[in-house]
Amino acid sequence: MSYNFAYLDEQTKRMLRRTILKAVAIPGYQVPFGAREMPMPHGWGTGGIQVTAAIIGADDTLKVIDQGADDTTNAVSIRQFFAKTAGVATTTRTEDATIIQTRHRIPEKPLKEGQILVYQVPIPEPLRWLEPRETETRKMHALSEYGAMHVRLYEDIATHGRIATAYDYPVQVNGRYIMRPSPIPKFDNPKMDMNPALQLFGAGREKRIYAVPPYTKVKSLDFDDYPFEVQTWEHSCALCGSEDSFLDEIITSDQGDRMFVCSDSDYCQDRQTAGRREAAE
Amino acid sequence: MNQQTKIALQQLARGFNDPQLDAQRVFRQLLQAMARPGQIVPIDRLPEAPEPLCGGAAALALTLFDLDTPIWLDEALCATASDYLAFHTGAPVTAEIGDAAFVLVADGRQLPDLGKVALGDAEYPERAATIIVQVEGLRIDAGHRLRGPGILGHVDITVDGLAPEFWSALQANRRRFPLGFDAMLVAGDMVLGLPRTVVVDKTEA
Amino acid sequence: MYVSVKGGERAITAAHTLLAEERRGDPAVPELSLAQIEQQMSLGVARVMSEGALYDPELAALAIKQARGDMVEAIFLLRAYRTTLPRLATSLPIDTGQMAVRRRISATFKDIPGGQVLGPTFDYTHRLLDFDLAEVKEPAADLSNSGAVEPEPARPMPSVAKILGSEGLLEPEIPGDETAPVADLTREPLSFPAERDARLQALARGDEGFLLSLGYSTQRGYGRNHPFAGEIRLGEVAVEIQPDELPFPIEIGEIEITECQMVNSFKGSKTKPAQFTRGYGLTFGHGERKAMSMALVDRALRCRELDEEPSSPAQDEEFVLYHCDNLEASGFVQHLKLPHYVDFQSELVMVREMRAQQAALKEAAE
Repeated sequence: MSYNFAYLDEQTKRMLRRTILKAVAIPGYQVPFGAREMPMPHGWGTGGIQVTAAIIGADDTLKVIDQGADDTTNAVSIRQFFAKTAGVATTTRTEDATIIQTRHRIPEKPLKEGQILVYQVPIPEPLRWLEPRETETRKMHALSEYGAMHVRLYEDIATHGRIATAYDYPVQVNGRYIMRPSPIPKFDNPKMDMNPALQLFGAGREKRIYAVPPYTKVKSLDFDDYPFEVQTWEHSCALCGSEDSFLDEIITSDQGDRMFVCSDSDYCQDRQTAGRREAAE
Repeated sequence: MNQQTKIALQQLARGFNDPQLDAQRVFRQLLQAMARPGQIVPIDRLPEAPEPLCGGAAALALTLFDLDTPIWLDEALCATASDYLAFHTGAPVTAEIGDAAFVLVADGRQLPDLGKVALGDAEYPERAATIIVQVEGLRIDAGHRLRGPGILGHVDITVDGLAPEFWSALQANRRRFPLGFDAMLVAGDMVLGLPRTVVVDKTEA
Repeated sequence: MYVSVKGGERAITAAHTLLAEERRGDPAVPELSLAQIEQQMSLGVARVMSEGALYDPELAALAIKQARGDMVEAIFLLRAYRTTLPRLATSLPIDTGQMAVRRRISATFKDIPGGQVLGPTFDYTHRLLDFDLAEVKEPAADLSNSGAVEPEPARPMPSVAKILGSEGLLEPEIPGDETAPVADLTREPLSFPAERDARLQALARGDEGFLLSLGYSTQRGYGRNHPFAGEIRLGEVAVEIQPDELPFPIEIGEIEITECQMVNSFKGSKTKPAQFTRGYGLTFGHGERKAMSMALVDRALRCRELDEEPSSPAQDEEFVLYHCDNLEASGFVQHLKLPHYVDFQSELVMVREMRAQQAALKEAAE
């Protein structure tokens, strides 16, 4: 059976494209859209896939990562899907990609103007844990009623001595909408601020798309006396020596020996290659 | 199909050469224009279009309009482009400008009352209209200074053939954020995106 | 020396091959045919069509075969396939009053015009495993002496709802604006508060188990709707379209459906005489449990329009409608199998820091 370019029919693509344009015009606001059933299950990236399918063209080069790596099984599956239905070139190199679809990480290498980062989002609503009802959270966003969120963060400080959110850390976009960046570690949050690339967010099951245009202010929520901080490690990457990247912890023996390795496989690979070149010189 | 319909179809300007691929390409150009206001973006897939509809505006229409988007056309376009748009997009035409998802204006010097277009509502701000205005020229030059999301620092642009009240309408629009219309100015095959986030600083005219 | 794990692509290909082998099972055992599934597992086929939102018994049988009998997986296959189909026309509403009835019962009256027609039902069977079925008989070549029951000639069967309605005892279906567009959940997302057309669509596609439990809860005090099975009917109805060029509708096919009309607690006031209220359920194929559950939950969700205070889970519109789609539920629950180690690492780092801080404070205090 032959499918349309990038699987979706033209009417669905138009609907998605109109949604994306409105999302770009209202940074950080979640635009509802008529998500379609895709051949992958809900929760496995259908939102990101629909956004990518709506924007991708024959000239694009696509990179897909999950947990920062190109070779994780779901990233492989999604990349194969687009290679099959759109015939696009694919790459593992961040700098060669025009579209990067990602789950749970922002690439370590800084993005450039013209690139588009598509995030896979499980739960788009930042106020969901405070208020399960959509009718209520919609009102809160409309009225900029974000007090409950600040109270919740301050309760963390009272209990734990710090804001105890390590990933999917809420941000405020362009000084207006509070947004969930998707479950990226808070380590990655600063990369969102004033990024030269366009950032698009797709939640298929929850049926929302949102966006952060390039060069837009994105501020992680905090307090003057408890400012936002990123994670740090005592270790550096065992393979490339990096001290500035997000590290995965690998258990290497039954006794609990461990080593730390860059989560971003492309970044690590490049550094390893450069390191070997240096050593040879 | 009767004889009249046959003749009418033959006289209709053709749309995109390759509707699938052309629409995708034009969409990326529109996305660039809206994500980077102040960048004047060339549209390089231009369908044939009946005057006074220019190639850029026609490309925009064929990319974004369909059965689900009511459109409002100004008098000139109503007379000349209704059949073309009905055939190529299926978009229903509405006489009520406030009901339109897209407002299409052939001449930037003759604007409809922008106070009447859909501005969205507080809980659903995306339900606002997109206004597409044809103008004479777009260039980077001292004229109006734009700031805001998508713009690094600021950008100065000059638009020829646009009524001055458009700029005050845009400033008033910004004050309503997150409500407000989004706009695209089209000059031939060039488009400038003006999402509702754009801040227009006062300039000497 | 640790080398980062590669080979994701190879692993996926190998997994797919293994899956195909497991699906087939022992190759010495005859392979299932679609006809066997369609004929002999028709209730499974009915469920897959209903929740898959696509009436095609053969495709549903294929989905069940491919999904190895996992119904939710089969429903997923059918829904995904459905999305690729172009929409050619919109039919007129089906007229269940014109149904060629195979089974029709009502709990509200001992007898009704048209009678109680038991039809094919498990209801009065004794649930004893029938070991005779373990034997596989050869397909019958000649059915003329099979002893099957002759179908009775069709009799007029006015619906119980009409009978009660003619006396004014049952609220009329709220007519609404017949020219207004009907909600379409396959094209637009749900928004709240949801109107009844969108709610019924969501319930029709909704998971049978979830709706069964919710419906059950309304019978046990989580909501008080006092339901009676006004009528349940099973049979075939015509599907008609009316193209613009024709002044009359044309039939394009027939589908088998199950319809349930529940009659629920009466409502009235000093100014308005008391009337029974309604709940409605509908499935493709034979699906009584689902149709009945759907009707109970439909009635519970009508609390807003009937001025009832929502107090139970089945009356919570967002709770019910956001969680009744088993594709969404299954996808999200099972997505926990995807790698989450980056987020887990973030939490590990934080928890270790917090524990170290506490330990240091404790030491300082001593």
